[in-house]
Amino acid sequence: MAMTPYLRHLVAWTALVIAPLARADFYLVVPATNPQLALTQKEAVDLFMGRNRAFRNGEPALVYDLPRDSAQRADFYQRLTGMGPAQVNSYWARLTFSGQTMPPQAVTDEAAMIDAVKRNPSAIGWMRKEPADKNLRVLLVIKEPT
Amino acid sequence: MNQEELSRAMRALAAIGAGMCLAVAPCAAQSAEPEGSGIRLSGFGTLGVVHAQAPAGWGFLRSIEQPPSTRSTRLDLDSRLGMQLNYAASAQIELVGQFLARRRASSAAAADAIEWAFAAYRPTAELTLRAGRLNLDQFVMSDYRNVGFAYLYARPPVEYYATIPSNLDGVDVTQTWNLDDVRWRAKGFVGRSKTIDIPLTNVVGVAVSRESDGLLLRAGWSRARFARNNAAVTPLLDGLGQIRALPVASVSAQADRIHSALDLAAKPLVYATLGATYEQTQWQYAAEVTRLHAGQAIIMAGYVSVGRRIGDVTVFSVLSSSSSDHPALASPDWGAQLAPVIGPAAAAQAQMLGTVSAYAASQSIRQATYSLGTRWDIHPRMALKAQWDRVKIKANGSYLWSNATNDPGSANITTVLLDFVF
Repeated sequence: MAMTPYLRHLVAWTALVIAPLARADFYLVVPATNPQLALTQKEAVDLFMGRNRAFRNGEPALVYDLPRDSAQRADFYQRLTGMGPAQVNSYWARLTFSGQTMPPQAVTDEAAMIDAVKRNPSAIGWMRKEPADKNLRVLLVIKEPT
Repeated sequence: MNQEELSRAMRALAAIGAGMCLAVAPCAAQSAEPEGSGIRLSGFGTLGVVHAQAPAGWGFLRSIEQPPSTRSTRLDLDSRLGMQLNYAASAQIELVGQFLARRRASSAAAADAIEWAFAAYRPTAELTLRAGRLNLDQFVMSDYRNVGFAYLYARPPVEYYATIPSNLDGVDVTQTWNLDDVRWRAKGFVGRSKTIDIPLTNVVGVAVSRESDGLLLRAGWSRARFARNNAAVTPLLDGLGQIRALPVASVSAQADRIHSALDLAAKPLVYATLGATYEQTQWQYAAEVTRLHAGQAIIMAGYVSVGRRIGDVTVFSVLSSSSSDHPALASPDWGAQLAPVIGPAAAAQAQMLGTVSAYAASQSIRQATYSLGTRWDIHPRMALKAQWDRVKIKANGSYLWSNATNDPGSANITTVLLDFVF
């Protein structure tokens, strides 16, 4: 059955509205001084979910994140772990309130994230735009699934 | 809770909240400090209403620490507010305090509101040493059983979680290993604790867990000793001790058996537990089983649960049960045998003591609950839950109810609550 013009219109509009949200790739960045050159997706999950606290060379990692209610953060974890925001926060509630591990330090937005990562040799953070700054190195790109 | 009590509780919660904010306000700037040190405040809470339709006079409880109540609709059963302060003194040293405001027995010490207060030392990324008031890491959910947002159900299964001691004043050591995709964790702890007002001494335990791809397997063992017997039992034990010393062999032997069955402080409590949880994107499974040796009784408890996530809503079902097994005790018939030895009046007293003691020692547990519920994640940090429990109690089998009788019975518990973290 052929699409009615109305339906086609609706589909086109929906695609336009959704596209800017769904198109984001995520860039996991560290200061360029960090000796590590790449990160696997599993290593990224372990760092951001508090299962591992160190880079490959054993140096402690200082993980940065956006605030718990932010929509970008929800997208990031959905892509990284397949978990929704409430699931991620529920997971962290288990670790936090059993005194095991605290969640990553939250900064207000991506600009603050760039600042924080640049300032701390042991930092790792994430952003949705490829950083132009030469002081940052991208360790992993989590691409939009195609 | 009547209105006055409720408003008093709310005022107390508000005062605690305000006190926390004052204490923390100067540190707000510090928490953004890039080195990852400084103070972090987090909290959790639950606002809930429970309606219990139970045999006349029976009062539903969620935990052994709650005061008895026979009201059928309650706000104070699940409602609570917790606050936690984490202070990272350095990359290795952290101080943690957690306070929990909830309705407790009026006899409870004020210090019971301090859920934890410990110092943690992490010499390496894999090793943690802690000292102070800690959580007694007995079962899968022991650590976060007050944090409703962290689990699926309205409350951890009552038959399994209601009577475990709450916290440990002592030390624990945790080591983790990441081997390929498997994360192993081993923990040992020693210290003292208490259940209601009876101190538990010589608490020692170990727990090992293995985690990979959403599957958590856990085994634990612990032992502890009651510092004394329950105040209601002590006079019975004294009386039985005297009867045991009488020169009538059959009576003496019977008194000894009843004495041993009632004297829980004479033998250590020993817990052995196994647990497993498996979480995927859509399905969640959990099962735990424990065997507890308490005096001469063996208590077996366990539960299984399954949950199915559909978008922001998870539908779940839980089956939990607890039952005890102990040596059968015949009701004594001492009056006639003792009258020639100690006189009819004392013999009648001994008879009464024997009857009451045998009755007390024969109390058992035979209870199971079937639950159906939903958790709806209405916000990244809030979940609305509704749960219905069908409780079946066999004759002489009630577990935890206040003012329960020995009759068999059944109950329907309906709960609606909001869990949140901040």
